[in-house]
Amino acid sequence: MIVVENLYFTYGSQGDYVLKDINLEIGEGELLAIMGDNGAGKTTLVKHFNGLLKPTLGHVYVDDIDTRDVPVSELSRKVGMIFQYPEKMFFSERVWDEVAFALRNFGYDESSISRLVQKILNIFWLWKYRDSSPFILSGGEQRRLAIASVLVWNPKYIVMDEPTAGQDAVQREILLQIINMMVSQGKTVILVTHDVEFVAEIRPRVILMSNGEVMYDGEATRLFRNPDILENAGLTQPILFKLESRLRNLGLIEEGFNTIDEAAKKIVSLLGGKHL
Amino acid sequence: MMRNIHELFKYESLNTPLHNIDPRSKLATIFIYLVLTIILGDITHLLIILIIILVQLAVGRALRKFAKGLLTLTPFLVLILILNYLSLGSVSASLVPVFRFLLFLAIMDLFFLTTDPDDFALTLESLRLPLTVSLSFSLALRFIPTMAEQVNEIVEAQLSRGLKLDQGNFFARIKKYIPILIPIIILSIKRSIEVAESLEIRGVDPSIKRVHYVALKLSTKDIIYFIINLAIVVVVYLISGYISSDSLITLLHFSKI
Repeated sequence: MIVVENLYFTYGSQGDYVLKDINLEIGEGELLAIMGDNGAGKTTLVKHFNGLLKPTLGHVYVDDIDTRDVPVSELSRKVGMIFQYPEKMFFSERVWDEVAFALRNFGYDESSISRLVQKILNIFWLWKYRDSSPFILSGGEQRRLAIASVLVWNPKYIVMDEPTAGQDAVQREILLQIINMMVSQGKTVILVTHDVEFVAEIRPRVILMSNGEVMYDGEATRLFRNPDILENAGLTQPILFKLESRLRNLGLIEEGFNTIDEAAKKIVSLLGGKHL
Repeated sequence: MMRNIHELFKYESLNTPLHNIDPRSKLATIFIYLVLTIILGDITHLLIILIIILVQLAVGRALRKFAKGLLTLTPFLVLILILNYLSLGSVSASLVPVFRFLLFLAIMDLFFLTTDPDDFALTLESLRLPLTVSLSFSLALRFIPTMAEQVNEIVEAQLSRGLKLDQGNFFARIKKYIPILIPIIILSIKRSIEVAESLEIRGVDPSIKRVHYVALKLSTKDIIYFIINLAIVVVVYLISGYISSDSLITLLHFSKI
């Protein structure tokens, strides 16, 4: 469990707080999205989870360990962090070495390394590129490689910063599958994003941030039905919920819908037919 | 530390007498000070110059930034002192390179902390440097903060992948910088291509003669500023031939008697 207690953070010695009195509990196996506009403090918050940043005031505990007490290299074994544009961090000559890098840092023996690397490259459809340079891969493949090179050491908590940034529709679909896979394996997945459409597809618990404060903590569906809170945090409703609001305002529906299929059925029935 | 280091060289737009001096006049001024710093080999004289520069930094409200920069570079200054002491065997002689370094820093700050990067680019162009050179120079300055930010990002990413920068012997540590250096080099090359493309898109063509919307104008105060500084430099240079710290010590010795 990750517990955040009265967390305040400022980058300088003086200056304004970037995070103000954050209190959170993130349970095991939970799927969570931290949302908010640019500069809301999302990334600053998650950097506390693996100890890259230490609280100015308050505490962050990962499995009862105070993040102030242990180095990043130790916390990282529990909390895998996938940064925005993670493919910017490649440096190895071979895909294989890129994935093995963290395992070597964590002191795994060579036989475990080769077993784990092979396994993860297969899961991520990258085995055929094992001897290629990471730089010749396509954008989507590079993103998958970056994710694989973190998941390879099997961290319990996985933080993904803006995972959909710069990805096309097909890659988003694949990303969705990867996230579902991680959740089904019992991992805690924390997404940092302002991509409302993506969040609308997975409907996790949402923590909405604005100006370094938590504005909302709860179900995604309830949040998306509340355009005012979203707007205050610099976000807009996903298209499905926009449609729902319009139909409701026109007095055409009373109950909302949760999926595209439900919306389609509703619209068809409103039009008075089944075969359109 | 990496996050803040570029802040120390960042220009801040203020309205001080020094900010309002023409950059060409400032450039000529720092040039003569730099030459003098190299010529002088006595702590007393270097100290006099340092005080004069510090006063000017104070006028330009850049003293605090200079002090902060100094604090960051203290380990480096100590290293210079130790290495020189090991080879020269005298503290006073080893202090000379330390003071020189301090002065270089102060003189550079005097220019860069009080001169708008855009004006600096104009200055280079007014010196008849080709556009490719002046533009490269000013772009390089402009991208220091961006680069520092990127270094920080990459360090954080590699630390999150278990990289321990502070472990192992000297060579092992150097090797650990490879996962940081390679991405930086690659990103810099990519960025330079992007910048070049965006310059072309916006019609930058080095073969065409350019006119400027804002032109630098040398006024009387700029010339006076340079002449005063030139006078100071000449005077310090002349007295350096007569008074050294050795002669000062002798003087003090006599005054005791």
